[in-house]
Amino acid sequence: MTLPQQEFQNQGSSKVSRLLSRRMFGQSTLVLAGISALWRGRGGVTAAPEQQTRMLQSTQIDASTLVIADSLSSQWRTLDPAFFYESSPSSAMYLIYDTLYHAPDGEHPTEIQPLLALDMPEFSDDGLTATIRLRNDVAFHNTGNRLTASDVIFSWNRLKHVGLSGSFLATQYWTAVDALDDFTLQLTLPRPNADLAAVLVAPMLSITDKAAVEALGGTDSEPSTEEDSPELQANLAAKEAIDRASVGSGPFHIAKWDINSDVILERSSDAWAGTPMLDQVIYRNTLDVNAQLQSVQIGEADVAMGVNAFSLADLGDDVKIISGRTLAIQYLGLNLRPEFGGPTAIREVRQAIACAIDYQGIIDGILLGHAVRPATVLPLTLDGSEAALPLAFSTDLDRAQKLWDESGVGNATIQLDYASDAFGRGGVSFQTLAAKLQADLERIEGLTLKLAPMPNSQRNARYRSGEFQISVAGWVPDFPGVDAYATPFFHSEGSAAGRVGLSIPELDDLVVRAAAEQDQETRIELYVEIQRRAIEESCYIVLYQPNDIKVSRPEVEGLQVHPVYQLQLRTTHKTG
Amino acid sequence: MTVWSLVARRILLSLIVLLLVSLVTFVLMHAVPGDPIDAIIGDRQAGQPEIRERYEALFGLDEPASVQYLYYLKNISQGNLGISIVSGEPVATELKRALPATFELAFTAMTLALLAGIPLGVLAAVRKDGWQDLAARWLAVGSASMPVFWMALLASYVFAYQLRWLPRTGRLDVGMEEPERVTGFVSIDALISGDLDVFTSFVRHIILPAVVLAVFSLGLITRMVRSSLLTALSDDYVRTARAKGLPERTVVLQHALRNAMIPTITVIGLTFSGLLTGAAIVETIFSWPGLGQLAVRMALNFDYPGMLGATLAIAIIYVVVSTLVDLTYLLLDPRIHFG
Repeated sequence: MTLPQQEFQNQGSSKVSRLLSRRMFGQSTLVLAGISALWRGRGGVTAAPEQQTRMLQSTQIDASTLVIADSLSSQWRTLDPAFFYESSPSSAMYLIYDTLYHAPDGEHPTEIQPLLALDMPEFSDDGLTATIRLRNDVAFHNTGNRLTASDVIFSWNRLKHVGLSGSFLATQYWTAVDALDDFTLQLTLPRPNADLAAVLVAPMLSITDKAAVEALGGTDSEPSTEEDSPELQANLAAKEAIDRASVGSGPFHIAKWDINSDVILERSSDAWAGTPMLDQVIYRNTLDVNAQLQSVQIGEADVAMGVNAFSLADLGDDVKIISGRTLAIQYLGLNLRPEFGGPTAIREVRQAIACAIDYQGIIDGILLGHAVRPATVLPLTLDGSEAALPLAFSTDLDRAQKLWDESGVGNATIQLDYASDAFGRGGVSFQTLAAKLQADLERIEGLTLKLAPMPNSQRNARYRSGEFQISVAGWVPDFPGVDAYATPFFHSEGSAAGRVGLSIPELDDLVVRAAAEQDQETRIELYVEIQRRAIEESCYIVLYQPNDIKVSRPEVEGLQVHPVYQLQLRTTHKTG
Repeated sequence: MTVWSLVARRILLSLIVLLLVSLVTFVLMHAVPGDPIDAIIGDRQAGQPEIRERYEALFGLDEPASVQYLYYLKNISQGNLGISIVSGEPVATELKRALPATFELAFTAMTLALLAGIPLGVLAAVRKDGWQDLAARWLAVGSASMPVFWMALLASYVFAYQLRWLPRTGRLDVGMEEPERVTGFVSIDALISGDLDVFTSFVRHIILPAVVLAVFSLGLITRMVRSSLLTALSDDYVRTARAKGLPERTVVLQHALRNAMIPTITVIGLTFSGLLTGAAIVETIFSWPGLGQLAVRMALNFDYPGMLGATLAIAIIYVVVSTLVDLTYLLLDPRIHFG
């Protein structure tokens, strides 16, 4: 039964609803039609193949332009060498700036060649002085100023006095740099260093145009003790300008700097080393790694930077996979200090842990085979790393249990610190890695591994202060030389050694001798001996050395994954 | 209370709110484990106290927390939000660059949500229990309950990757030069400079993120309009209007809907504020260079000045939008007084 009033309302409602449905949905249709018109304006709205092609034309990239999808806003900070320290923008640094030496071949990163230098360094008899002759035909791309020894000294002093992450390169490897003339440098070394040319490959030691940097307010003066550090303030302001101006001598210069959208490098027509094959290299800010991959697949980008092994399974023939060995390592740091490490301060415990880990399981199961395992923290490719492979611990549960029992620890709980908000080398989830390590290590009767996920900043702080038992840590090289690892990890004054509490005078002596040794065979023998001692100590257990994987459009040629530059783009070009 | 006195009172209250927000943010930032200097100095420098001290002094982190806060307040009063520890750029500059992008995205999404949500809500109310009502309710519940990140991934997969109708990332085509900066809004600046290519590119890029955010907001608006309108349609004044013989369209749209919009405006205001400040996931997935993306970067790097600046910007947005909402009440119903 319907009451008269209700009947009235319902009739009214249906009349109104007819009106509304026409009016309101008419509006919605108009909106959709507008959107469609916009699509059509760019080439059509249906999915017909020929129309799709027309639509795609708007996003297709010129053959002389290379577009790289990368997480700029999270991984890039600056392209000013004095402030630079991130690995991701290294490929851009190598395009904009020149260093005295470079490692052009990503497959053989230890083959160092002169770039701004005329030849390899000449060492004095005692090895404490290195003389480097510079090319005299190099000009900076923005000003045309001739590059001289004063530019080199200015660049390195600025790096040193800014005092940020990369400054150790300008403080630890020489005590003085002098210009013998406009094109000859003399470096006074604190100790002989056969790796000096490799050190000078580091992008932080790129050479900037002194006059241009000073014009932008930059300075190489030592910071005063005043509270507001005017020199630092000046260099911070100059950094902002350098990111937009570029003050190098490389084949490209910066045309646009906006890490929230694009960083655009343009070819310098008068580059001293010859004209590059590409006109432009555009780094496109693409935070989501899936978006990076999809951008390459749909032709919005030529190269995706953030690719992990699991993404490769779904890729078709429309893209190219480029893989190469890195010099990065993922390792466990085990604390040797009894007050913090507890059981890990006992050598047999550390060795038991090293024997219980299923290394191949980690490489095959978590990295899908895209990694190798060096014997110690010296990555494969570097001097002495291959020769030390037979010394490495292999998975041996019986030996692990025996060592554990010999340690006399009985039942013990050991805490594993790892980052819960970051990914490991090779795109590995630390949570997955930690779970695997827990499963492996708890096969030792008596050992309980307590997982301690925490923000990476907190893990870093605990690790750096040496207040941990075991920490999952990583290392990437600043330059492609063995001393980028040997001193920090094995010398008692090294940063990593300080964290785990490693201090063995004989090992210090071996590290210094190996770094100074010019004879290759003797040098390798020394590094093998260093690694033998390190394996005995087992305060670093290397889990893997990942491969670096990138995905590109098929028409991209000459692209190479590089352990230092990330990508070697100086020889890259496109075929269409 | 006049409109101007309402605005004056709101400004006064908002100053207190902003002070409290800055204080709470400051305290929380310092309570969370982590160190901004660690974020900029590398492994090797971490063991050198003199370098750490130099940078702590440069960013004022060497003072006790209470002194740091007082310095911060002093700087804010002079319009200085500080220097980002990570980028080295003034925080105000970074916010100035990011805010227009977020406004464009939120405004477009809100417009789409209103254009679809209000008609759907009205239709659902006037056709209560009919199939249109059922469909609108399903749509509303579905859109509000689907996680926004999932919707964003789905939309990008279908429309950018599979169908290739729309671009996948960014605000403009790769390599396209932004128009000369007048307002900071690319859309408006493109129109001012008469660059239709840039404008068209912008529209094509904003469609996917805006639609995803709009769909997410649509459900809330539809449900609010429907329930408010149903309440209004059963009120005496509506019965009176009908008895007077007014056309049903006038009764619904001019009498009932106007009153039903008062609670809806509150929801719209909150939703709009949410879009302005909480679009971080969508901005990340579509690489939209807005405030959300910037705030995430600052938070992950313990960028104290950046985080404080972003939080203040977000608080100001909420205060301004809620004031506008209150003013809208006055427009919709002159009987409303704020005592």
